[in-house]
Amino acid sequence: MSNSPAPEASRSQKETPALDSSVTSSQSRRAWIQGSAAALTMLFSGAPLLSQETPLRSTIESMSSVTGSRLGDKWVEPVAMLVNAILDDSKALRSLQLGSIEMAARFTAD
Amino acid sequence: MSDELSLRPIAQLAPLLESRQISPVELFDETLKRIHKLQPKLNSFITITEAEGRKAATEAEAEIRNGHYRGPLHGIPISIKDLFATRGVRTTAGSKVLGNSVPDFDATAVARLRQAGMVMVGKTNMHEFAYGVTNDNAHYGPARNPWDPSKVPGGSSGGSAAAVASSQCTASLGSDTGGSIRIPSAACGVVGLKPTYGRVSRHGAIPLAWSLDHVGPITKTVEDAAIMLDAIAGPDPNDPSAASRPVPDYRKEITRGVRGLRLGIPRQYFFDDIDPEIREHVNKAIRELESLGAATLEVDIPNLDNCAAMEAHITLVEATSYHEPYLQRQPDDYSPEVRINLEAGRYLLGTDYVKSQRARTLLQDNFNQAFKHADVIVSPTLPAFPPRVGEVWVQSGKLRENVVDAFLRFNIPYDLTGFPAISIPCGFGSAGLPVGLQIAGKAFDETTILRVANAYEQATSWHLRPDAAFSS
Repeated sequence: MSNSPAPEASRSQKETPALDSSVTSSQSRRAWIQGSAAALTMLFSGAPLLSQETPLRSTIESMSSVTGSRLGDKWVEPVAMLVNAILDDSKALRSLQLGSIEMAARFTAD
Repeated sequence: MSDELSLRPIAQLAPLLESRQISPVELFDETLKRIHKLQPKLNSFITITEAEGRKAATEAEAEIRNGHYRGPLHGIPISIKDLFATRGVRTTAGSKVLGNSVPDFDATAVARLRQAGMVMVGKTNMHEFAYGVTNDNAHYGPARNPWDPSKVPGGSSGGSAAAVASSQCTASLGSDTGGSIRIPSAACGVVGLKPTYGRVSRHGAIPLAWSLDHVGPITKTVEDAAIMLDAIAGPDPNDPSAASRPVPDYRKEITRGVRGLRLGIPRQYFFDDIDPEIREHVNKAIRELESLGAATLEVDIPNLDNCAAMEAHITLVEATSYHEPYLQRQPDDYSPEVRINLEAGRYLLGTDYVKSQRARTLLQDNFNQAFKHADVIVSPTLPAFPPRVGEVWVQSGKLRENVVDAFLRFNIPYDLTGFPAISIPCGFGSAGLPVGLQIAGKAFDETTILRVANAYEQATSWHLRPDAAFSS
């Protein structure tokens, strides 16, 4: 089977809402990357990174010796975009005061 | 034998099988006929286990004839999400990476279903590695919604829910990390139960995120969900997270009604930004439960807005950790969608992962506060109807949002807390697509959510609609 994008979805159908800032929160931008093969095609075709993702791209490229993974050009952009979106979504989580709550050594429901 | 037999739930078929009014082979053949008829249209299966199923059905027939009836799952046609290891049967997890993987053991839940006498009919289609909510699978083709094949069935257990809804099996085994049992169950109009974390062993289920993964049934009725849970629940030495506490007789407990129970309604978050038709059906279902004797009260649960970020950190990091060897060896075998998620997991911070895990305890406390006043919490399962295959956007009331955000929103709180939750059908939208009602409960209190779900189901007829829709 091919990994190619779903043929029934045209690029224009996908790109228009994805670029509409009135409905596209950072969280939905993350999900847009997760959910849209057609959007990935657009990314691969060289759509420019948003300015805040550029430093992250450099960071990701420079971390190859740490991660042991050298991402090709076509992967760095969408990966940087996704990481940036998640970090952007995490501001409230980071400011959450958890006091003395520890991480469970093994998660349990009770 | 008419086509009608395969439309029936386990609870109706079991006495007929036990009393030998019907045979497991007859039931299997009829089910197989439906699979062959519907597979080209719905693509619910990755592998159809015709030879193995017939062998199991023949053995069940002989056992029952010889007086060795094992119980209500004996001779019942059941499908298994292709995430679960099945001895001698290819287990792909919907991926090319594991496209030729044939395990030499059964996942614990599968082994227990075999022990209970199930007849496995096949391995169902799923979102690649359970990493998505639409079941738009790049390698095996998209699974489709039986109510409208142009629409997705939801995911990641989309093939399972579609197969149950279209009676290509009587029940299915699914998994739920961010809603993957309840999302497709709501989208396909069937019953999906995510038990408490630790209630059902995860051994042999290919992980998406170890600390969020749950195993549970997808069925035609609430009683069938209880029957399946009775079979698969319990401790397992192969899964250290499987709880050792005793397993109640769920089926026996579900008929006690709702009189005196308190339903918590979280009007904030769970009722924000939802399709008005879904809101209307869920409110009507709540009124129905009130008319059956339940009391309702509004509950407020803090910190729900952090759920999406918590889920993202935990899922991405744990998934990448599991996939790292495959990612090194065969990266091009992943679809771009899944590979980007996996690559991104390398670059998230350990501190954010730990904070997300710590915040789960806080979230559990927040829910437990609400459970001091309410026995269960009732909400919609999904804020929007399933989109067309390939479509990324859905309309959640006034909000146009990505299907991933939309479908995870009401489901992930219960994966993060580990608390049990069930989705049952509670209506149909004007376009003919089902609406799901979610009922969640305290840790290890599956009994109460099944009670509430069963009371609602008995008072309504939504669960009977698939019989009418797919009988021809």
